[in-house]
Amino acid sequence: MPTPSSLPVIALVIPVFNEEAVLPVLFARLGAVTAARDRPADQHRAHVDRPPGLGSSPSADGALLRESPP
Amino acid sequence: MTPARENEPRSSVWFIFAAVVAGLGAAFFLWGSWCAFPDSNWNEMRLAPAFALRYGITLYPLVGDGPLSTWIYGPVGAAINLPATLADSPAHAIAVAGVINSLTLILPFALICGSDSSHRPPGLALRALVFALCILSLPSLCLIFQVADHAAAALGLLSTWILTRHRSPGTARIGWAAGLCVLAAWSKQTSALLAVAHILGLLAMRERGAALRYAIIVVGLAAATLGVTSISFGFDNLWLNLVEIPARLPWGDIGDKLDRRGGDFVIYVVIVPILALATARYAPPQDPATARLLRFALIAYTVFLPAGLAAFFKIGGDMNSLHAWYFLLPALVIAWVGYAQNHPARALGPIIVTTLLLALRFPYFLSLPSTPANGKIRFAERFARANPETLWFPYNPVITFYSDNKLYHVEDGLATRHLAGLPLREQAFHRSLPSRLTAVIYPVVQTHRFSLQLIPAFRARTVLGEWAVFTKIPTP
Repeated sequence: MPTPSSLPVIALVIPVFNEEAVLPVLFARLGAVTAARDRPADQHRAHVDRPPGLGSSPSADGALLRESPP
Repeated sequence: MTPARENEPRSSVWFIFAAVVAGLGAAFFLWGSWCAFPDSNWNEMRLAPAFALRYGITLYPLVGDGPLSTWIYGPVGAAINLPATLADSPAHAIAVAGVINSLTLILPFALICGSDSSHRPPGLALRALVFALCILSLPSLCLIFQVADHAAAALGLLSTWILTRHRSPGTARIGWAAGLCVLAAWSKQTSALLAVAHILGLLAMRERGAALRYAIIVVGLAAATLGVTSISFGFDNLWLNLVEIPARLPWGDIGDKLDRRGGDFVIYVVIVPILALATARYAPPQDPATARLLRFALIAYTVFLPAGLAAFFKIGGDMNSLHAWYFLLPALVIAWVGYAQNHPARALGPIIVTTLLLALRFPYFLSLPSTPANGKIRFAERFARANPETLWFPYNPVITFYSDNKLYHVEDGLATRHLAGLPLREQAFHRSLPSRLTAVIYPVVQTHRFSLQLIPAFRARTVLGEWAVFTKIPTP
């Protein structure tokens, strides 16, 4: 169990874990293991794109995130 | 002598070692990010408003006016880029903007780390360590993309820091804090909530007199700056661009946002604030002023959350809208390093965490360029200078500002007006385009091309390096 003194460092490290795709890959692999249990014949490979971190957005690296106009 | 004192020389070596390693890592992070900064077309759109400010071009056009820019924020975020307008070329202007973006984010850390009084010798190394860890903990894209939130967050953090240095702050200190808070609100509208957070914080600390003085000063400064900006830009212009357009933007696709940002969202909205709350409760920073900063930062985080969530779920909104985590960062690092310093058993903690952060960042570091990635801009600059008043770069208004001395419409400005349901009038649209328009040029990676739908004749596509050039289809 983490001690109270280690709480701040967990708050610092977890976002970097997530940003560098360690957590998403871990979750994806766990998901893939679960899916494989359900569907043993399924050979899909879990693929996770590198998530852009916080601050990403530039409300849409350009207008990219904005929906295309009709 | 306490156990901590007995082990001080040995642990000092580890802290100095950690500070050197973290400092080198942070320097590499900053350098690589600065080199990558010119590669984003977004940054040029965010820099263009500074040129508008300097050369008296309207920053807040009314319906039917132009050029339409991406700027639906207060003028402070544009003004901090003014030094970049002194550059002699677009590439240099972007380079200066990159430096400004990084300094905006890290200077508050330097001030806060330098002022913390909890560190025993080696004080300088510990302050350097805290500073470097703060930088390494920044999301990488903060240093690569410039957004209005950065000025708002930095000014907001400085304001909170000044207010929390002493209990029952004097009027001068309150005045500085209120002034910076007002500037933060003139950087991004949601930061007006910081004033509410500060007043709530002072009341929670039973400093009613300070809260009252703060409220009076902040309201006075807000009214005064509203008067000045209204005279400078026009009240109707400000209202349309800072209030009406953001309010009229539709909600985004919530499922899609959570698909793309679910991890970030959970971490920054749930996990980090809970850990920060627990830190403030069970392991607060030793310096009372830094402990007070953490408590105020938590109040600010809570007050910002509803507006941040609303901005996040609006179309175009993203994690930058939830920037109040930035207020928590320095106090958390200081709390942890201070604890490690006072407990010899934890003396290796900083070097372990530094190594872990650098190891996690290593693949990203390898992906960063080692020299400024401005070849694309330099190529376009030569092209634009050879063809004045004929080329329109909807994503790159600074390039043609240097070749034509004019600012043209920006893609995001046009799309934002369209999404807000405001009419794009044809005459006004053409008024802020090159007078002899022969080509519309997009970065080749930019596949969403809103503006082309407004000038459908430009359909012939040629690729020149990293640019997609659209010209009229020749008539037989």
